Order: sequence, then C-alpha cells, then structure tokens
Amino acid sequence: MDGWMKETSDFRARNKFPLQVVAFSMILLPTPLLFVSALSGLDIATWFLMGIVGVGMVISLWVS
Amino acid sequence: MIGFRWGAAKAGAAGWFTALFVSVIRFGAGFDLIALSHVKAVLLALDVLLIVWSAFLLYRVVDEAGAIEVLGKALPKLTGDKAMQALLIGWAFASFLQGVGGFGVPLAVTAPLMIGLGFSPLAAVVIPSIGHAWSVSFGSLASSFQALIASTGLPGPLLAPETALVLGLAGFGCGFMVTHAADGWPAVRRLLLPVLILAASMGFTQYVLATNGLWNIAALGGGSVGLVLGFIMTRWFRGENRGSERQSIEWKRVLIALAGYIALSGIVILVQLIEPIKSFLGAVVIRISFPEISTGLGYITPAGEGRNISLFSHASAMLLYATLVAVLVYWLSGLFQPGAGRRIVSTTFRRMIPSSLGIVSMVAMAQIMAHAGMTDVLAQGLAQGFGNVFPFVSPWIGALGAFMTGSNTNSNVVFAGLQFRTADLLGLSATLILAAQTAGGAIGSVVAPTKVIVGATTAEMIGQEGHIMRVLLVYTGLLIAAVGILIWIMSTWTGG
Repeated sequence: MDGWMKETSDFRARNKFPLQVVAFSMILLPTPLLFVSALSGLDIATWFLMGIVGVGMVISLWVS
Repeated sequence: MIGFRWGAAKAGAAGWFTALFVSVIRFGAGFDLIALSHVKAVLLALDVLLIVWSAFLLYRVVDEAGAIEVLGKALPKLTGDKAMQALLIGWAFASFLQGVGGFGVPLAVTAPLMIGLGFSPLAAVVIPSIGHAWSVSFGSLASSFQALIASTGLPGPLLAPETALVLGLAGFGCGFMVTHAADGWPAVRRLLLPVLILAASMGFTQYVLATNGLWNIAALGGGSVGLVLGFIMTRWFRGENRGSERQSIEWKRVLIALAGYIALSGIVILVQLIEPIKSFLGAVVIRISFPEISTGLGYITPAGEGRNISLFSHASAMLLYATLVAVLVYWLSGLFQPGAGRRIVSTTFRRMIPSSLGIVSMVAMAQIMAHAGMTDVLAQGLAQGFGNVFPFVSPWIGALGAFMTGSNTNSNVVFAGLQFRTADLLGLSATLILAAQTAGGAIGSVVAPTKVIVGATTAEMIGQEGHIMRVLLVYTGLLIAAVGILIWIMSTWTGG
C-alpha cells in the first residue's frame, strides 16, 4: 500500500505541469458545448460535460 | 488556504465542490443553473486571464532581452541616500513593475537589488512589499480592476474615480511607511517633501488615467511618473557623492529597455482616445445572452448578457500588439540570446497555468454562490451584523480575501459580488464600498503567504517567513485601518 502511494505521489510530482494543463483544459474547453446543451435541454449531454469539468476540478485539487 | 496552507488552485477546486454541494442540497440549485453559471464563470475568467497571460508574456519578452536588468542597474547609481534609494527602487520602481507585471515580480526584481545596496534582507522584502501595495488594483494592466468590473457588472468609468482616489490616498501611507522601514523616523522627517510630491504625482497620474478610460495603464503611468520625478529629486538627495556613477548610466540602453512599455502606453492611448481606431478594433465582440435562471427555492437571476469581450480592442490584444513591437525592437537591437523564444513561451505557460487554474476555479465557485442565492444570504448576514460600521469593515474583507487567495484579483472575484449586495442592502454607495474592497485586497495581497514566500526566497530568508509576515502585518494593518476610516468618513460625508 505504501509503495502504491509513493508511486502515485512520484507520478504527481513528475507530471505536475502536464496534469495542470489537462485540468485547465477540462474545465475550460467543454464550455461552448455546455452552453448549447444546457439551453437546448439536452440533459445527458449537460451531465456528461459537467462531469468533464468536475474531473478537471478533481485533477486540479489532487495535483496542485 | 490558511488552515491547510493550500494554493489557490487547490483551494479553488475544493471551494467549487463545496459550493456545488451546498447550492444543490440547501439552496435548491438545479443542474442547468450549475451548468450556465459555469459558462458565465468561464467568460468572466477569460476576461481576466487574457490580460494576465498577455501581461506576463510582455514582461517575459522585456526580461529576456535583459531590459529589467538594465533598469535595475541604472537606478541604484542615482543616489547614495538610503531612504531615497528605498523610495526610488522600493516604491516607484516596484510600482512601475506592478503596473506591467505583477505576480510577485516587483518583489522578485527589487529585493535582490536592495540587498546589493546594503539593505538588510528583511528590509529588502518589507520595503517593496509595502511600496507597491497602492498600485496593485490597477497593476498587471488592471487585471484586478477588470475582475471588479466583471464580478459586479458595473461599468469601469463608474468604478474608476473612487477606486483611484482611495488607492491614491493609500499611496501616501505607502510612501511614508517605505521611508520609515528604510531609515526610521529621521528619514520620514527628512524626506517629507519628496514623499508628498511623489505620492501626489503618482496618485494623481493614476487617477487621471483611470478616470479617462485608460485604467489598463493607470498604475504603469503612475509608476513611470514616480520614476521620472524620483530621478529628478535624486539631484537634491544624493547622499554620498555619486556624481561619477550617475555619469556612467547608459541612457540609450535604458530607453531601448523601456521600448515594450513605451509602445504599450502609446497603443493604449491610441486605441482608447482616437474614436475611429477604437470603433474599428471594437467591431468584433464575443457577446452571449443568458436566460433567466432560478433555484428550487425561488431565487431568480434575471436574463441578461454575460461578460462581453471585444477581441481586438481588449486590453490583452493591446498587450499583444505591444509585445510584437517589443520583440521587433529587441530583435533589431540584438538583445535576444539564442533560445529566447522557447524560454519566453515555456516560462509563460509554466507560471500562468497554475495561477489560471486558481482564478477559473474561484470564479466558478463565486458564480455558483451568486446564482444559488448564497452570496445574498451572506450579504444579509453582514448587513445585519455590521450595519453602519460596514464601511470600516469593507476593506478588511477585501484584505482577508487577498490574504487567503494570494491575489487582489481573486479577492475581487470572490468578494466583490458580496460587498456590492451588502452595500445595496445597507443603502451605501456601491462604488465606494467596491473601492474599499479592491483597496483592501491590494494592501492585503502584499502580506499573503504566497507573496511572502516569493520575497523570502529572493532575499534568502527561507524559514523566516513568519518574521517577515509579522513586520508586514503591522504596516499593512495600519494602512487598511486608515483606508477603513477614510471609507467610513467618505460614506458619512456623502450620505451613503
């Protein structure tokens, strides 16, 4: 368990910047589609896109 | 951020999740509300991020050409008077750097210079920290002021006069505190006149530029005027004889070094003041209309446009034009070393992505809170709790926001809406309370742990951050209290 945690921590430290870029992109890029889907009442698409934003936030929380 | 010592990106994401859950569970926010508030948030964040990114890009171009080093070497040769050096480097130059760069740049550039001049590491961190506080809101090409506009929806021309006035008056305090930190009370008495002249000139310049639609270069203008006047005054406050050193300054190099910022000032003035250019560049606008949004509990956000972004006359576009001019001038002058382009792009991305994550997640959190009616509930609590004392409390809220988030911009993003609503509930002048918010945020940002760490690192005081913070807290606490009293008096005087 400790080994796995250490590996995760090393991965995070090694890839901090690329992961921050991924998080930033996931928070920002779905926005135009999110606007269209929310206005058109496409609930599943809105859920999916907000899910992407949420994952971006999780990555930001984890890596920063 | 304070309890766990988290950065803005981590705390912003945690705040977003908290706001999301609380808004859904306790405030009846639906999924469409969350989605549309996120779209609005991204639009608001882009308005600020575009400026932040392009301002830092221009700073990196100027820095890579060695221009900041040229300026830094020229300034100390002007005077041997220690307190005058502090005024020139720790106040005027730090404010100029805040006007163009921000993000801890004033501290990172001036602290090593001051140590080289014989200041103690503590003084070298404290002096520029206090010195640039008055210029933070209109600094970084006014990104914090832009955040104030974006968060409240109030027009810049309405917010600019009181904001510039309060910050200009705070500048006097900054000048006296810099002098005191440099050489004690005797220096304050000796340099009373230069401090008064510099503070009045820098504050007045910032006020005139900000109130004439040129808020993007208001702090840059104020800092530049401070540098020029400070240079003139060093003739009378030379300290030990420095005549020969003064002669050795290469003025042509200094002028080339300033090319990027001279170009920026020219472009901003052209675009803002010449109507045909302004309307031509302002023709392409990103404009999105949002429908009315309501919560399950009946809190309604009326339909309206989100933040409009004019692609070619936005402050970030002007920064990019100036960057192109600067690249051309430095390239023709042979100032770039091999690999400069790669280093500029790489450092810009590496510095900007983490701070952008912090800004976008905090804006998203603040937008959920505003649309779910959470900000309104907080504002009602503040209005009931503080009542008539609120004008005095207002700058402390701004300062707390900046202390927590490490930035005046983030503080405005998180608290401007709350302050606006509280002012509205109490029947106070919203523009005055928002001036208090951003002035408090500007002063509070200099004592934020993130900036203190930058100072401690550059002054080789790692591990002594607590000591720096204690000294800074005394100066900034006095300054915020003075701003609070000023706002209270102005609020009483204007009858609201």
